[in-house]
Amino acid sequence: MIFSVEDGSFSFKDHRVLRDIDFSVSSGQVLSVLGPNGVGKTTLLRCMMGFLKWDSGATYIDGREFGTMKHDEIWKKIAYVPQSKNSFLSFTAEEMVLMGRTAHLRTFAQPSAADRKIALASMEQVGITRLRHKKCNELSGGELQMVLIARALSASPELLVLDEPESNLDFKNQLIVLETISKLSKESGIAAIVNTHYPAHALKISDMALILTLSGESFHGPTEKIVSEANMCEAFDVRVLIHDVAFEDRMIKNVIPLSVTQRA
Amino acid sequence: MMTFIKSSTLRVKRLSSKPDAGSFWGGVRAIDAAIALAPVLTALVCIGIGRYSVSVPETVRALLAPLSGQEMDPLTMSVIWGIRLPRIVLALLVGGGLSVAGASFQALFSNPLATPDTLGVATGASFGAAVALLFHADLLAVQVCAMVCGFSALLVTTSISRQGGNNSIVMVVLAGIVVSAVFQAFLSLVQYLANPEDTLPTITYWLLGSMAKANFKSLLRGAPFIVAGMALLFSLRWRLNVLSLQEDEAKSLGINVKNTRLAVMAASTMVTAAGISLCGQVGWIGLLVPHMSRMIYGGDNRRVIPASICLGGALLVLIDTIARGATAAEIPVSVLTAIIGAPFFILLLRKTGGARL
Repeated sequence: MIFSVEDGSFSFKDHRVLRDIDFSVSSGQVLSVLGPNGVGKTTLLRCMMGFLKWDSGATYIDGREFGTMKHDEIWKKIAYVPQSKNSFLSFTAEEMVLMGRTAHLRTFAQPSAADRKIALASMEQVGITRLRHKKCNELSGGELQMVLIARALSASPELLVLDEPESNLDFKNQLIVLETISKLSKESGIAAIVNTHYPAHALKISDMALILTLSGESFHGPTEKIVSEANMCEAFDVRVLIHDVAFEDRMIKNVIPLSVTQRA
Repeated sequence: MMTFIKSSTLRVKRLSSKPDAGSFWGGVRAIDAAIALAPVLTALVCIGIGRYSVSVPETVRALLAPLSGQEMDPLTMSVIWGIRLPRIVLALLVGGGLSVAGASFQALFSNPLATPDTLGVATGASFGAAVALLFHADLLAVQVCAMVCGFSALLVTTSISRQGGNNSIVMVVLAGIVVSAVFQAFLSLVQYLANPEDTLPTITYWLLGSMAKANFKSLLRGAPFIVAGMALLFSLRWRLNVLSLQEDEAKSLGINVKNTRLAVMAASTMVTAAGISLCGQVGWIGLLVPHMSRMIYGGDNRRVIPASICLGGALLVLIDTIARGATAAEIPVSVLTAIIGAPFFILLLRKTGGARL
C-alpha cells in the first residue's frame, strides 16, 4: 500500500497552517512528523484523514483519491490512534478493542465471535491480554495507550496513524509504545505515521521524517538526513548536538538539546 | 411485553445460529434472566392489583381465554382485557421507550445528564402536542406535531451547545435548560389561550401524565412509533458505543457519524414524543433507568439498551400501579416518578459513585 499526500495546504481563517505538504509512506515504513508546538502536526493528521478538508491538494491511497472512496473502505485500511481521552461510558479494555472491528461490520450488525477473536489476538499482539476485563477509566496512561493501539490493530489496517502516542508516558511506557510500532512495521508490514515531540524517537523508529516549521517551510526525507543539527535549529530554534553512541554492536543516535537560539 | 418477546427471540436466534455465541453474551446469568423477565412478571402481578383484585393464576387464565376458549367470569374479562391490559401495555411501552431514549441520548452526547427532559425534547414535544390538542386534532396529528416540535427543540439545543466546536457536558445541559424554558413559556401561552371550558382541562390533565385513558384504539396509533423507535435504537446499540467516543475517533472506526447521530436523534425523539402524546410528560425514567442498567452492566450498550427497555417497562408498570392503587383518587404518574425517582437516584449515586459519573 502507498499512502500519499500531494501539495496539501490548509488555513485556519486567514492563518496559513500547512503549505504544500508532500510525502508518501509505503508498507512497512514509519514516518515521523516533528515540529514545535502549534505548528499544525495534529492538523496535518486531521487533514490527511479527511476530518478537515484540504484547501488544496489531496490524500491518496494506492493512487485513489480519498474523496472518491467510501467511508468504510478507507477505515479498513487506515486506523487512527488518537491522544487518549476517556469517554464517560466505562468500557472494558476488551469492549474498547472490539470497537476497532466496526468498519468491518454492517450498520445494524453486532460484532460476532470471530470479531472477538480478532480483538483478543490484537490484545495479545501488543501484550495486554491481562487487561481484558479492566475498565478503561481505571487504566494508567500507558495501558490505555496500548489498548488504543490494540483497537487500531483489530481493524486489520495497512497504515496506523498515531497522534503523539508516547506523550504523557513515563520512560518505560514510552519504550513499550515505540517498540510496538517498530515491531508492527518490521514484522507485520504495517506502515505508520507518528506525530512526536522527540527527535530521538524519530531517529529510533522511523525511516522517513517530516519536519514542519512555523515559517511554513517543511523538510521531508530519510530520517537520518532530515533530523539534522541545522534543521532542528531551523524548526525549533534550539541548538542541538546529534552524535552516535556505540552500544554493544550497534550505533545509537542521540539528540542533546544545548541552548535556545535567539532569532533576529 | 412486546419488547421482552423481541429481545428474547433475538437471543435465542443467536444461541442457535452460532455454537460459541452463548459465551459472547457472557452466558445467560441469573441477573440477565431476572431483568429479561421483569417486565412480564411485573405486568402479570400488577394487572391483578386494584379495587377489583384478581389472582395471578386467574390473570393468566383470563389472558389466555381467547386462545384456550375457557369460560371466564365476564367481569374479570372486562376488567383485565378492557381496562387494565391496555394500561399495562402502555406503561411497558412508555417506560421502556423513555429509558432507551435516555440511554441513547447519554451515549450520543457522551453525557450522563442527557435525557429527553434535560435536552428540551420532552418540553418541545409537550408544546407540540398541546398545540394540536388546542385545535382538537386527532391522536395521529398530536403525535406528528409532538415529534416535529421535539425534534426542533433537540436541534436547537445541539446547535447552541456546539458553538465553538466543543460539545461539553455543561454546555449541553445549559442549552437544554434554555430551550426547555422557551418551550415551557410557549406551552403556558397555549394553556392561556385554551378554552377553560374544554381544551384547558384536557391539556392540563394530559400534561400531568396519566395512563388512565389508555385503550387499544389509542395504543394502536401510538405504539407503532414507540416500537419502531425502540427497534431502531436496539439495532444500533453497537454503534452507540462508537458514537460515545470523540468525533474524530468515531469517524476513524468507520461509521458515518453524521447520519448515525441523526438516526439516533430521530428515533429517540420519536419514542419520546409518541409517549408524551399518549400519556403526558413522565419525567425521571429516562435518567434513572439507564443509570441503573449501567451500574449492572458497565458502559456497553449491547447490554445497557436491552436492560433499559426491560427495567424501564417494569418500573413504569410498578409506578403506574401505585398511582392507581395507592389511594382512592388517582395520583398523576409524573408526580410519582419524581417523588420516587429523585431520592432513589440520589441513593444510587451515593452508593456506587454513579457508575463513574
